[in-house]
Amino acid sequence: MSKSIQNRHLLLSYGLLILVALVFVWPLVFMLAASVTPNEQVLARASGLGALLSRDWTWSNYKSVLGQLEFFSFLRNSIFIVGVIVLSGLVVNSMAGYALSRLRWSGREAVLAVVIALMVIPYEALAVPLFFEMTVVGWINSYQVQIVPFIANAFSIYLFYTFFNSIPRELDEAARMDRASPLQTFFHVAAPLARPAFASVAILSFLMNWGVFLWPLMVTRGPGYQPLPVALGYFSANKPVRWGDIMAFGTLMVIPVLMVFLIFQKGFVKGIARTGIKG
Amino acid sequence: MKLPRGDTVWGWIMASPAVIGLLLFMVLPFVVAIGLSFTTYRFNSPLPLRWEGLGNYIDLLTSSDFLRAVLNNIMFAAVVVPVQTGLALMLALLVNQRLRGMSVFRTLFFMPVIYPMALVAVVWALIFAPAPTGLMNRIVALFSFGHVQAPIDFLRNGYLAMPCIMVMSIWQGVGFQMVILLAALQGVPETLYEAARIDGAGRVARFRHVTMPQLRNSLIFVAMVTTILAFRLFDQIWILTRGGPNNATTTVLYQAFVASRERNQIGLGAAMAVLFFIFVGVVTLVQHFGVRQHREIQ
Amino acid sequence: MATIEFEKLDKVFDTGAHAVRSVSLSVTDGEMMVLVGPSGCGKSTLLRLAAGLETETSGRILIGGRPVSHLPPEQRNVAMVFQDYALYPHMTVRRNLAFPLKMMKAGRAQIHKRVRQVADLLELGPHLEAKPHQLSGGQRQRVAMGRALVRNPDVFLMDEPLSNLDARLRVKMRREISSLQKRLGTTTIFVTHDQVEAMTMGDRLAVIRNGTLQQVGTPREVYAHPANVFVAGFIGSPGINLIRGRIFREASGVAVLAIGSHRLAIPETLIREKQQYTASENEELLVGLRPEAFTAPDMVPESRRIEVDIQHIEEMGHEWFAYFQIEGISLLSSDGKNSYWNAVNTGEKGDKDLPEREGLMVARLQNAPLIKRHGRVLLGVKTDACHLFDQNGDAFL
Repeated sequence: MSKSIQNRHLLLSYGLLILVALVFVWPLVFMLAASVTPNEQVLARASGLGALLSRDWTWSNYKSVLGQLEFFSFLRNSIFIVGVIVLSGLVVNSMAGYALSRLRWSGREAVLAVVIALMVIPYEALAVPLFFEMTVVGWINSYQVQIVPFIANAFSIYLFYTFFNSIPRELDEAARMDRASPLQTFFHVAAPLARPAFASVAILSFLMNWGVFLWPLMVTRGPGYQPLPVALGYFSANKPVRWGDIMAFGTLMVIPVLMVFLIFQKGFVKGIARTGIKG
Repeated sequence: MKLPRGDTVWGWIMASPAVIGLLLFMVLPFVVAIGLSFTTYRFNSPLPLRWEGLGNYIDLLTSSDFLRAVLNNIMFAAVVVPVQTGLALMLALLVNQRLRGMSVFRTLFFMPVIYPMALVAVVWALIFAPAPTGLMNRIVALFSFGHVQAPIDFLRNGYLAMPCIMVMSIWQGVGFQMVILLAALQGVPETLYEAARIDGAGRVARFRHVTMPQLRNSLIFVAMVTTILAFRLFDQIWILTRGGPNNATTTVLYQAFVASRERNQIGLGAAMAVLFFIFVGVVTLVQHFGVRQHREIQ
Repeated sequence: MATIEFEKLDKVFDTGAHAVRSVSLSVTDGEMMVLVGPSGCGKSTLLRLAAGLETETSGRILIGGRPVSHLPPEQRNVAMVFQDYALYPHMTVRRNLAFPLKMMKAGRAQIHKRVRQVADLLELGPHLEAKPHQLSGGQRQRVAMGRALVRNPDVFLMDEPLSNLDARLRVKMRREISSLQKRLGTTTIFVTHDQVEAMTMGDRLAVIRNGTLQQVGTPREVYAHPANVFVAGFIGSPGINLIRGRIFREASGVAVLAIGSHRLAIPETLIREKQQYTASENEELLVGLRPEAFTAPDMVPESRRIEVDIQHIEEMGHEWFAYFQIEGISLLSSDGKNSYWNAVNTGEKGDKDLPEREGLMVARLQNAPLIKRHGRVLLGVKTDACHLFDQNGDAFL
């Protein structure tokens, strides 16, 4: 290839990449811009960078969102619910993945088959009967109704299972010969070696559960136990629409997600890719 | 085979928290759903519980609301699955070039995937705002040179509401498919391309005869996930349109939500859930079959 | 300290593979028992059964007289050294060595002391804070050994622990492990496919093929009196020359071994030995001649010389290997059927260092300068050293 053709190709590639990047980034910029624009001005101005660059740039939307005690209550709910799901999920699902990968027990095949079958079923498909079940148990409008059903996760179990399969079996056997019980082998040998799997599952589980909308909408009544997305949903439905406040709310809600994503980006994308290749 | 005794005890001990969780919150609801779907169960209903047989299913299949919901889901899938997969493939090819700064572009393209759908919906609500100064209205005005009567109320227009939902859904989800296809692209052995080159294959021929066959399984997987996703359509509907106008954007899940949460018709909602399972099962089987066939050919 | 007994042990895997067939074997207290055989013969399975990593299909295992079949590995008080060492990659050498003690709930002070002792014993002192990937192959091997002996187990199980070392290190470690084992006096089962390793390390060997025990005995017994053609072929390097032949008394009254058209005088004892087993004079036998059964012609009487066709000679300085053919004679493999060369190439013989024989017989000669390097020459045969097997390949006593 001649130099000039190569350069033209390069220019074309970057041009296209930047154009597409704008499409993907613009709504986020748009949200940020709107969040610092006075409520009544948003519609008129927010379509561009104009809002961000204009002089009457304001923190008042953030002040009004943060000024409500309820925002912190929603934030606390979200953090608590997602935190408990992620942490207890890591323990419960990794142990199950380990038992499936390493121990030979009656029922292993059956449990593995169930896990694989359940992997494709989205929780939304079960929302109605689960809603019924939770109503019967009397858990409606609580923390546990948003936490307990989502700790055990077929997909996480499967991810751990495949990861443990990739660790040499001899290491487990060596630990058993060194007089470690299966549980000790798991904690001292297998789990420390599966750190990448723990990271992938933690990040995936955090992001999935942080955005959950349908379930809390079904099982919460009023702001007491509502997480951020549902609160945002109700907030955006209030009339008159206060666009600036909504966007400030949204910005505050997406910050933790962006932080987690940008910190763990590499492992995260790898984790997703791993799930796809095996299909 | 004789099992090591210690293993069996430990196996059950270590797996049981997860197994119990899956049984109580996935398998049991599944069974309950099938049972409830044959009843008239309602919360707080003064009427006695009645066995309905297939009544709920017949009601659903003759209800114009539900049929419209199914139709909407199918329409959504029919448009979004091929468009999103195609776009994802193009994006994957675009970011698979060995150029400086490529990882930044990959990150940017992928980012919407991690945003909570509720957030994406409210941002796009503002983009679609029915005012002459709304972003989408401006874009339309720009490209139609003022021929279109502004402002359009996109989300309250029976013809435009669904396409708008589709556009934002694709925008939000395409990065996920891109990442999976990118990984598959990078898994294609370089030697295959070199061999094809030596055999005289040009760019297009290499794409058709090397890239595409190697991507087949990943494409099927991606299409399957997107199809199931298409039937989970709910968050953006609730926030943006509540199924309107005139059921133009209602979906199966939205109908199930309204029936069980707002009208307490648990039996009816359960019947919808069962239909949802059947659908997920069929899609999975189709994917399974497609992938296996490919292996046989190889 | 303990004995190990296998009683009629059988192992059939889920795949249907019958890896161990009715093996009975006792290992005495403090003994080094080497399980040797070609790869895939079931020797590692036998070891893993003893470890508790596999469960036997039938039969019993006793360690120190106590049946252990129902015990998981961690309750058998046996230690194992793995082929790939299986060092915990996320732990330092110190923590690797301390792990078994930690699992026994030993006190901190005791752990520290034992780790120190073992590290000194194995010269690992300077590497205690290193991670396994920072160590050389030999050092990793030592850590694996150290982890096994740090807690004074009843039994050591070693699964080809030297196979990943280069040749020089392997010889050195052989000696070290042997002397360590003698010093500690711990009952040990050592698995290897390398017959040289087996001969040099074992108090006794158990030769295994296709899951069946072929012969158990000291290296000398197994070498001098192989129970069958397989053992004869497997033990010894270069391998035994196995050919067809007959034994009978000629009209002159001299006992002879007939190989093709050749006649070699044999001692009377052989013919008596043979007579106990077969009726017919003319029955064909399998005859094994070790390379050292050949000698320069003037070392034996004339009646024990044979004309051979030398193909090439390998000169080792102190000894010579002569590769030759005998007219009308073909070499057999250890199943007594195919040519030997086939058996080598299909991997039946585990010894990778074996030169390709290409169907040639081999002689180990001490004073070969007397011999031509090529073409027809006479070789002497020490016929009293020949091994006789019946048509099934089993030895005559």
